[in-house]
Amino acid sequence: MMDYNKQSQKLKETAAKLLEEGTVEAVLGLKDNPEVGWPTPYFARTAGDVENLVWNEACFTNLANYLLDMRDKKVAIAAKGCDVRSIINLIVENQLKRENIVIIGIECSGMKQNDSLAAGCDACPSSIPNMYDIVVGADGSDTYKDLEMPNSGENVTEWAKNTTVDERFERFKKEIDKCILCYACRQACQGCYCKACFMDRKATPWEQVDPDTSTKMAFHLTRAMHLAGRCTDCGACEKVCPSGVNLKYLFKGLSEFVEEFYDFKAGVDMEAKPFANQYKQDDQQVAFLGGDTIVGV
Amino acid sequence: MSERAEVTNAVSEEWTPTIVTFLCNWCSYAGADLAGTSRIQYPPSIRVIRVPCSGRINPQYIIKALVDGADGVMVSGCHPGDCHYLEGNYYARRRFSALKRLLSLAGFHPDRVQFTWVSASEGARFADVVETVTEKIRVLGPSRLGGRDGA
Ligand code: SF4
Ligand code: SF4
Repeated sequence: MMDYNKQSQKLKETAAKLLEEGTVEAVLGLKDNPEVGWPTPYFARTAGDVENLVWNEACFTNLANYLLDMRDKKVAIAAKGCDVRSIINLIVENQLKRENIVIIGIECSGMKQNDSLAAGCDACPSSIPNMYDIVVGADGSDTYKDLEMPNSGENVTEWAKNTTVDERFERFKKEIDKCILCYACRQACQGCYCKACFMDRKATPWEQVDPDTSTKMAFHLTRAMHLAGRCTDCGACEKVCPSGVNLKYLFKGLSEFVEEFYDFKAGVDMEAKPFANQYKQDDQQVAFLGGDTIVGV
Repeated sequence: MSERAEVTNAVSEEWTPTIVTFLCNWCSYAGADLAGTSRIQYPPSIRVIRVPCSGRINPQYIIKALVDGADGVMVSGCHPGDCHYLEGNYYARRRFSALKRLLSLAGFHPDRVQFTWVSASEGARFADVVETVTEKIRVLGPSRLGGRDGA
């Protein structure tokens, strides 16, 4: 079982050592934040700072994209499986350099938000991060315990095959109606690191942003398209949404599709080439008119 | 309005859908031109937007057309292997396949979005494609997203 106290202790010791030795300039972790209600990102820069680091069951925040703020510096990060998948994705996309990051891989069998399993944890493949430099096991020791995972994630492709277009539209519309277009999901997403998001560009009349249904749909569908083959299923987008919008299933469904048809999965292989940055001449024509398989679901 | 209701409400025979159509400059646009100069008849449903390459079509354009009330979207480029820029349509093919799956997951009828390849010499095929696509979309009836906040 998880022993967060021992894990915190090990994390602090490790962080202090790395900082004292000068191996890294900062250790990225989480710090208690009563105002927000759960721990928020924090860079410990001196050995004295490490006392502020916390590790508990509310540490569900994906820290990967905070590394981008210090991309040219050497930084250590307290990372769970989802953070590590995201780091791998960012390395694949040339946003981070592996040699600049020390991964303190913290074993995790699922985080809690508002007393229930945090978004994304239901589909997490393993309690052990898939890449790490320093081990923090479930009991704070130097070995991973390989804990049992909830493994109750939705198979979106199966769901889609068993529903009608109408039912799928209803689900989408129900979530869209809740959205207030605050962009918190975009800000939290490891994949949404563009300096100028398409939603912030209002150069031409057709790019006007009014908070109406069509704009909200355009935002989420385009964001999903941009995340095709890049979403690491970390759940950050759902965790930060103030309106309880659950649209991660679209991203997950696309990931399933990309894995099935193009044999690519984000956050697995550091050497991989991004799915949309490559093609094969014999790629299946999965959506084309005239005799080809329609990707109907 | 629900998709099934749309179908059963059997749209009148005369109704023609509005299909936002992206054609690549080098093959499909020339193919459409050939259909025109050869005086081949096809339904007046498409609104053509000429782009340099099917690889230039940002998925956002297609999404935008659909959520703003287009009845359908058609995209046509050079056949795989014939791209004027050598590989633009190979990238596009991956992107469009993913987009079509995404739209289907979100409840847009897969038939509303059509991708195809038409070469510069295929004027007759272009007319055929337009006819097929128009009929596929016509039976679905008008888009349920009737423009700005009409959902
Ligand atoms: S889309 Fe959501 S689940 Fe996917 S990587 Fe971004 S924040 Fe994580
Ligand atoms: S965080 Fe929620 S409300 Fe805000 S833009 Fe994203 S889905 Fe909409």
